[in-house]
Amino acid sequence: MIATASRYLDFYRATSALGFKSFIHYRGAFFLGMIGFLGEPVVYLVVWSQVAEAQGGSVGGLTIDQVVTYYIVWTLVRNLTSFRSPLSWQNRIAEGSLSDQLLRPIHPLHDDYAGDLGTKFVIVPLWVPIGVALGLVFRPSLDLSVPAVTGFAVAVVLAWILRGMMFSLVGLAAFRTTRVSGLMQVFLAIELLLSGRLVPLSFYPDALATAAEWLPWYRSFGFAIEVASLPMTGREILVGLGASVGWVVALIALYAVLWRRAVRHYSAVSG
Amino acid sequence: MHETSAAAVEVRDLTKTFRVPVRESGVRQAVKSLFKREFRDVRAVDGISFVVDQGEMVGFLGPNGAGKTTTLKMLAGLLYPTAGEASVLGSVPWEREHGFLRRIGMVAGNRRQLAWDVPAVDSYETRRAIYGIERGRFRATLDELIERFAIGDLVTKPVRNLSLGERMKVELVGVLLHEPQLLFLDEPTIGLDVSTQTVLRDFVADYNRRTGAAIMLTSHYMADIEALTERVVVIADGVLIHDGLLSELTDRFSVERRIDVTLAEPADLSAYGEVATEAGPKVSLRVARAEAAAVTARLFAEQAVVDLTVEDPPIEETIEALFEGDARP
Amino acid sequence: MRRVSAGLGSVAALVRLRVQHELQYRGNLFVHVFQSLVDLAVGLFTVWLVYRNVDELNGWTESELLVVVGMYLMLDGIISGQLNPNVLAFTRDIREGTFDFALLAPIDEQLMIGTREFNLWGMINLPVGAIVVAVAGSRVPGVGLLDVVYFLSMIPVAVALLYSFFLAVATSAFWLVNIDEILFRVFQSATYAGRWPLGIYPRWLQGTLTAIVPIGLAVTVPSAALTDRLDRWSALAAVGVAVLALVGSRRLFRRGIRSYSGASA
Repeated sequence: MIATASRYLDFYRATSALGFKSFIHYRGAFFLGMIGFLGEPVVYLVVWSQVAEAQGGSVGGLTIDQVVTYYIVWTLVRNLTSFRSPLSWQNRIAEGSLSDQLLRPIHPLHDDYAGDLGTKFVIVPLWVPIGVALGLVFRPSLDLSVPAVTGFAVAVVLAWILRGMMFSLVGLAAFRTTRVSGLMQVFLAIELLLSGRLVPLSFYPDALATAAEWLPWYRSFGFAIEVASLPMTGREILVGLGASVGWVVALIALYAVLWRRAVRHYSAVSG
Repeated sequence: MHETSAAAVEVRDLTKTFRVPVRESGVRQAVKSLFKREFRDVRAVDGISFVVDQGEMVGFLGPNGAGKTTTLKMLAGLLYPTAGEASVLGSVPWEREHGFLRRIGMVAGNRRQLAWDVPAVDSYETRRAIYGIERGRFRATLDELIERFAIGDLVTKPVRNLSLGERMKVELVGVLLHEPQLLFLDEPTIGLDVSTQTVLRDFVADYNRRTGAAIMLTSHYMADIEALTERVVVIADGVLIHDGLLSELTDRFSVERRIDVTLAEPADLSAYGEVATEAGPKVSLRVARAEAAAVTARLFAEQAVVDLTVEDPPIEETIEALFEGDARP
Repeated sequence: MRRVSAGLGSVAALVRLRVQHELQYRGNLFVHVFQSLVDLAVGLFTVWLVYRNVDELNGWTESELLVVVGMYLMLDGIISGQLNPNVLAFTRDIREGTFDFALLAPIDEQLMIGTREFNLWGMINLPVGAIVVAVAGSRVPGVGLLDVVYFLSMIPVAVALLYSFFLAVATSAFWLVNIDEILFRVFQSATYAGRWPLGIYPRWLQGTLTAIVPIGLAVTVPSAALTDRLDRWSALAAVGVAVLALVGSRRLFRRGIRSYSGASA
């Protein structure tokens, strides 16, 4: 048991180091990309601040301050929950590198997660100046209490794992079709609307907001942001984290079942 | 109107230095590289000079990384030199005047110019527009090239569906459509089977014969050089180490000669030189160049010789030895 | 003169080549139609969410804002159909060393890279956006024929601004070699700001959206023209900026070519 755990730990350490080293070469372009990525949240931030102002200081139950904080934390969480695109599965199958991965005694998912973990060590330091700059310009109000900060940290890690699982599930489609990009389009559209990426869920009509809170997209993005930017009781945070854990477990289970079928199909078709 | 000299290409002291980033291994180095980038200078071409006359075919020979491709790129106007001068068809190539570009053509073995997903004829039509070739003349040239090289069925298929050899034929024709006066060929036969290599060499030789265009060819296949050009320029480590006839190359650089002796009876000839092969009365000896004449005389004097020939080793061996530094003058 | 006609002839030939290629891939059409509908739905949905709370945003009514949405979609069509694909092809050529073909061809390199690719189906947002503009514009009180003409005349200005921006960003590929995938997302993000009229943004951000990423300007100028917000002087200034942008980006591009070929600056 311990031997297995330490083997995996070793693997993660080595592979994430590799991920870090290869990603560092792209840091210049990536930094530029990060700045480019700011377009989306800054626009949301500005528009909704304006709406709040026009309405006397709040919109959808959030004050202007909270709107600002929400979208700045948004930029951090967006970067922390990025993951290898499901389209990579299509490439892996087409190029035959999947066969190489299947030969190894470790599930390909670990490769993806470990490699991505390595890139995060480049991404976070690159984000810091951006976060600081945004903070200076827009002046958010952050809740830095212990429950909020730890809750945020745990929520973000779970969000990353969850989003990775969702991506991997979409990636399974590559075993059956070449239209993975179409599926991705649908996924991203749903994510935009239901995860809290477009707007905080409380901006929606009640029915839609409640429904969205039950779905995994919210747990893979918006929830973590809200822990850091909106006042939440310790209980609310714990319940939310519980829901995140629940979704992670559920999707891993689903993946395990579908994966076995997919690999069987792959071996039958390509040998 | 500019003066036409006999020279198509004149190169003087051409030099090209590249700055290459230094990359270390290890995580600590990777983090360090976040803050400080290090470079080193690589001298790809080091003061090369030569002349190519109109209608001449010249081969550039050299090991990988010798600077052949870099030299060709400078002469085609794709790269600026670090120092030195060149005049190609009367123009300074890196100024890339459109008139100049219309008179040259370039084919590289590992880079393609034709669009991938459409038939070659469609790309040819685009080239016609780009090079401003009058329709009637274009039609005539194209028909002739298609017939001469028998690619009629290849040009109507999407380029991606062609084999490597077929693709090269089609690429080469594409470059000849605007009838360039100077053709640059950068490793054109790389990766091709022997029969296609022969066909391509024939294309090129034929074009040179018919139009009097000058040809500059780089290759590390001796067969290309031997078949096409009499004159060869050898470049190693960016430096020009030989410019002359192929036969002169052997004369100048080969260190050994081979003596093939047929004796009346088998005998041990190891005292005369290194025995390369021995099959009964037939022995093949390797001797140092300087001693070849003396050894031959001794053999005749001391052995019962039925037949004897003295030869240079195959050019490949000379070249190999050359690049390994054994035969530097 | 011969150069101009050779140039135009080449452009025509290259475009024809691309369209022929595109027509082979009909599957792409569905992907783009779907994306277009999603974009439209999200855009309309967002406007609806905003106007649930207010009647006017920064002086723009709902119909007027929908004109902006439509204008954004039109420009997005041009970006997805022409500008983006060419920039991606260009950065790929630089990375893979196949850019030499553009240098060898006896026509202007800028022309070569601008006509290399053409995503026919990607242009779908152009007609979609035009429809949105037409419908929303008809619901804005007081819009007449003159406004429409004014609007149409400002579209080339918008396109010129965007073209120059994309050319400048593409040129950076000469110096930052591994740039393309990131670039694609930079575009997507940078053009986000174009979904809303320039006036929404705080002053200093407006400056950025005009000088560095001109999408805000490109979308707002024609929209303002249609909704009676664009005075003569602003229009002239916009034209001036567009001309400067075209000249500046070309200069930068030529500098990039020299750098790529290893000229000492």
